[in-house]
Amino acid sequence: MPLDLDEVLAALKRDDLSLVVGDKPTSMPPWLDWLVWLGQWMRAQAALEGRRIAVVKMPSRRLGAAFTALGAVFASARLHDDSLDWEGLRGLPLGTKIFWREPASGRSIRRSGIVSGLRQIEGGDFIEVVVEAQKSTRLFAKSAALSYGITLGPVSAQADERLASAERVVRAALTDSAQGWMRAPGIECTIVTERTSLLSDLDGLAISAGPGIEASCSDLLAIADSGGRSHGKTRVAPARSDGVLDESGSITILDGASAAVRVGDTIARSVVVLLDQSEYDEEVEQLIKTFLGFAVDSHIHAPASGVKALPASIEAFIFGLPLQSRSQT
Amino acid sequence: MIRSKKRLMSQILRNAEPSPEKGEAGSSSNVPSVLSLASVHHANAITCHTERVVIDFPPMVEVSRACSTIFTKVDRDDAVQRLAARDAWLVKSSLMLTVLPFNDARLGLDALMNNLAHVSQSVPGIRAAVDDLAGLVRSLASENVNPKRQRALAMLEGPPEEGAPVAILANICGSPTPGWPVTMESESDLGSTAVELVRLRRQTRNALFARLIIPGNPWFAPAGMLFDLLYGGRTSDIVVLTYRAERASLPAPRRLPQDTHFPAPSGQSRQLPEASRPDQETQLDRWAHESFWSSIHAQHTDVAPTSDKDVTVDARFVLFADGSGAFLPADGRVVEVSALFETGANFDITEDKLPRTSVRDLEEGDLVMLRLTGSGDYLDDVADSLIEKAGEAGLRGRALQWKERLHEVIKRHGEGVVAMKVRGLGVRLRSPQYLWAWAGDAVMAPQDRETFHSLIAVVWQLGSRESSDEAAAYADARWDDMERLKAYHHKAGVAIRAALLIRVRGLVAERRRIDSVESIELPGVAAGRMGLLRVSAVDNKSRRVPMSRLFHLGKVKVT
Repeated sequence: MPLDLDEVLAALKRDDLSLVVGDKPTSMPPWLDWLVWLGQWMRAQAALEGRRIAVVKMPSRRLGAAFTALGAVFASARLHDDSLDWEGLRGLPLGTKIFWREPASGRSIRRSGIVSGLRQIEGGDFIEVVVEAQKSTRLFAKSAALSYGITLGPVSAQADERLASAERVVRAALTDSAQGWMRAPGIECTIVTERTSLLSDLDGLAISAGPGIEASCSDLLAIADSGGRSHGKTRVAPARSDGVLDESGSITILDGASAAVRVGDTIARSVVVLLDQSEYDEEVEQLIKTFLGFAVDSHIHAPASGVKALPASIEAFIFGLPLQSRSQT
Repeated sequence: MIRSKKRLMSQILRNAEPSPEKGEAGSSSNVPSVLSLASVHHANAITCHTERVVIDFPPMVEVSRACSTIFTKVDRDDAVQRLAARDAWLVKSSLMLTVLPFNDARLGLDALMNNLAHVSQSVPGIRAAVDDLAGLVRSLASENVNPKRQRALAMLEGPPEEGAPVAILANICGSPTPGWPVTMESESDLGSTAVELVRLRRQTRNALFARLIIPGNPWFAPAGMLFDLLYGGRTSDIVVLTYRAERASLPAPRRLPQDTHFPAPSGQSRQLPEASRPDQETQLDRWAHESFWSSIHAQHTDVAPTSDKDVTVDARFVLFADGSGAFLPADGRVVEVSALFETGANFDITEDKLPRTSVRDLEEGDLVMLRLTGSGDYLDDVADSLIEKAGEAGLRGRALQWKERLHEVIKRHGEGVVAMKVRGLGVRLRSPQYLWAWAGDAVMAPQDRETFHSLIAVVWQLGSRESSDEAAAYADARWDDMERLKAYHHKAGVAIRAALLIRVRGLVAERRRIDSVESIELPGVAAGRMGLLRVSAVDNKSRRVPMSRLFHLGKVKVT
């Protein structure tokens, strides 16, 4: 079934969203609302033909990358197909280590195990796992696997609670979202920026999707640890990383000039470049012009209802690229 | 004063921050949240108003005329006369830009006029102009009426919002700005604590000002700082205060290409009323600005690669307060600890979090760590010392010997052929030129063993060497060597960091003031002397230099 961009964008109940700073609720300012929309749109387009790059210039980049990524989170959750999670789990190579949490004596206990095979029992598929602590074999049916939220990285009790609160907000904020997206394996979004600044700017900032339904912005982004060992949906990479910046994920956000000059080292289907007024300099301009030589208009998939109008403080430019424009290490 | 500024900032914030929801209007903190701050920046950027205030002061026309005469009559290819041209520019700029009284000794006008008088004895063509200028300077100093000072002080008395902080741009020229000595302080020199003299970009990051006063043509101010102030919403009220004889124009941000999806809102470019585009007057400013760096670059004409493996990279020249300078990689990062010294002993850094700053973002006043002696490869030297202690001498040579073979193959067949063969084995290669990075010292090895295997297989194939089985065995052995070498590099990094932290903690606890350089002997790390150096200026243009030249500190003659 073809993807309906308008449906994905409209699934977010924007009017129900508000921000919470400390314990003080505030409305979503128009510039952040637009960046959330941009993140949704760019993430949704990643499921369509071609690649595209959006260049956004604004007075201050602070919080810009995080809220663009939040838009991507909402779109990803809306687009998510949990049957693919099951396919992904079924396709794990034998010997893969997996993690899950399960209730025991009123607490949530972390378990891990090694995938040892696939079994068919009475026409149903089961994943066979050797549970590490108990040295016993366990069979996961599809429904159990998805409800336990099997991940490829460990999830602590605290992280589990944070994932749960984020999941509540995502489900309340969307008219329709698949269960288990937060815990489904795989990075959705890469932010190329300074991790410390990103996290400190988000400190104390939360999103509310209705009375009592609230999660911190960093929990909603589900940022994986810097070593990539823990479960997460958003990866934060420094601009100085060698080689390709975004081996996984549908959307990459290049935050600032140092990240922008690495645009040739991205492979995501949708890339957002965020710059302040001084950062769109001669070097970045020349780089963008190089890519413009390969621009493909048809790879910009505008929603039928039109794009969201720019707030007065923001300038933006978007162009499509062929898939072959992916850079290589 | 800080408390006062926070209070004032919260006043401004209330005008533009996102609206609180019902019943939640109060906030216990005066410190603005990042959300509030960024929202005000966006709001100000939309509403910002720029005004030019022109001061009619005929003596400045005469000063400008005399300096232009000197400038046009000297031979700028002659070193002594070039200095005279620069001195004339300094006299003119000091007088025009300053808001200090004209007889303030910190302007250094007497010394500049003495230099000019000395040169004019051997350059008759400028003698009359120098005499005229000397007369004007004497007259201005004795009458001691600085109209720009008077206007600026009047603006400080009645800013648009009562008591709100006002910023004055004190870094108008990018390098030390004439007329704005570093010892200048708002309270003692301008009689106000609610004024911030803005010289550095770091002052603009979290800033909000009721008004910004730009006391001259800011065309050559550092772009990052200036664009934050002009277009980054740090204020909604900008006044450019100039004499009629001064040319002033505001650099406009580059425009994004036209977009059919997001048409640019009209009227975003900020034009200065009565401003003119840069003209001949500005050419003098440009020359003075560029001659500063060109004279420094002229001292580094010998930046030739030491070998074919010495690849060139983009680098920026950084000038330090002790009179030394070094090329640093434009895309690199350096340890920068000025914040630790500013915040005193209450800092929290862990071994894996030494504060680092991008070379592109370095600015005057930063405190960076560099090696004071020897080459920049401090890590390599410390690692080699650890390797030797462990009885593994020769590990580095053995681990990296494949680079020599790759280098030979690239030279013999060309990088295009090698790249084609490597890609034929399924390796993703950014460009054929990237092979030189592998063959050189820029990167130790490809990102994974598989890629390395393919690379060595191609080297073997093109080098008509032994069988592919031997290539695989060779690749495995070298990869394992490189893994061990990387482990030594890691240990060296930990040792350097630990030793450095101990010393930096000690210096911070002692409240040591570092004006230019602080030498650091790292206990237990015998490979050289480190230093914390205060940045004096950073060239905003990159230059291609061989990697071997990076981080080499050398004395610089600044004219």
